[in-house]
Amino acid sequence: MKVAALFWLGAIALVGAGVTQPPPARSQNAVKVDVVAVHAFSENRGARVFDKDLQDLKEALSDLEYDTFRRLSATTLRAALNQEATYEINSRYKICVKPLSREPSGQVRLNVRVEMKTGAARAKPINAITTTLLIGPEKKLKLRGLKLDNGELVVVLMLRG
Amino acid sequence: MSRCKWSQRVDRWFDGETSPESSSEVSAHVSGCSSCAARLSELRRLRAAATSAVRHEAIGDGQFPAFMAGVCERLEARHRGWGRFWALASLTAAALIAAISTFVIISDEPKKVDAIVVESCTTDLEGATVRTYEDAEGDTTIAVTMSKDDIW
Repeated sequence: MKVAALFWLGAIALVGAGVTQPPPARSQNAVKVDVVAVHAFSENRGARVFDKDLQDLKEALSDLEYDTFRRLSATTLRAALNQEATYEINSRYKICVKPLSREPSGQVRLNVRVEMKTGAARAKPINAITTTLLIGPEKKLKLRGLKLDNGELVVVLMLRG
Repeated sequence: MSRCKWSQRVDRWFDGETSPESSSEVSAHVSGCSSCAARLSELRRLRAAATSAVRHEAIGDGQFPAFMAGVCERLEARHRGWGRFWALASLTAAALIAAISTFVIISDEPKKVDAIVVESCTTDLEGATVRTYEDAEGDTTIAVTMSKDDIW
């Protein structure tokens, strides 16, 4: 009898709390985007060779026609909405990530640019790629086709969940 | 057997309704009258039978603990009946709360979408083109194709 009474009190408190508590506000914390820069090129190997740091990206890079994949750098960019975070991949390329909005679906609308410095020393960098996209957590976005030495630069972005 | 004329007086004497003088007379008569003696004997037998018929159950001191134990057991059994009712009601309420909570959580929480939707995609590189595609792993790729004579 006492147990049942306690249960009912607890149930009423629970329902009351559920009714009065406002829905949890979506976190306004900074958006975090993992960035991995990869130099992909060919050395006429019989098999594909990945840096040991790239084992998690082997599948994501499997569609590229190169046989050697070296990690240039990696970082996690953090930016609040409408604020841009940048990362210098090397002396020529820079990636800029700007979160525009958080969607109820859990996706984040991102503006991503890859800036490329041209040959002229004081020339203004060119936006080699500019894209606006909706990205969900843990999904990988590849930016590729940017010339780098004898191969190309591949940038893999992944939204932290 | 013929009935004695003293019969009614014997009945009253047996019931204690006669005076002391009359009682001694009736007593003396009954000792000498076989009919009235038989009547008295019958009256005594009837009284004994009636007394046993209306006898109330008495609980002796030795039986009292068992009697009380029985009473308590019946009370507890009745209490247990209510306990089962409350337990069943509580279980039903718990199931309802769980179902409603699940429904609220499922219906309120927007479905998570982990896909990538490219809304726009451009390049400022002269002579270059840009395209998007999804590979077999479901990852989205944005590929820029730079001109072969591009010098950077």
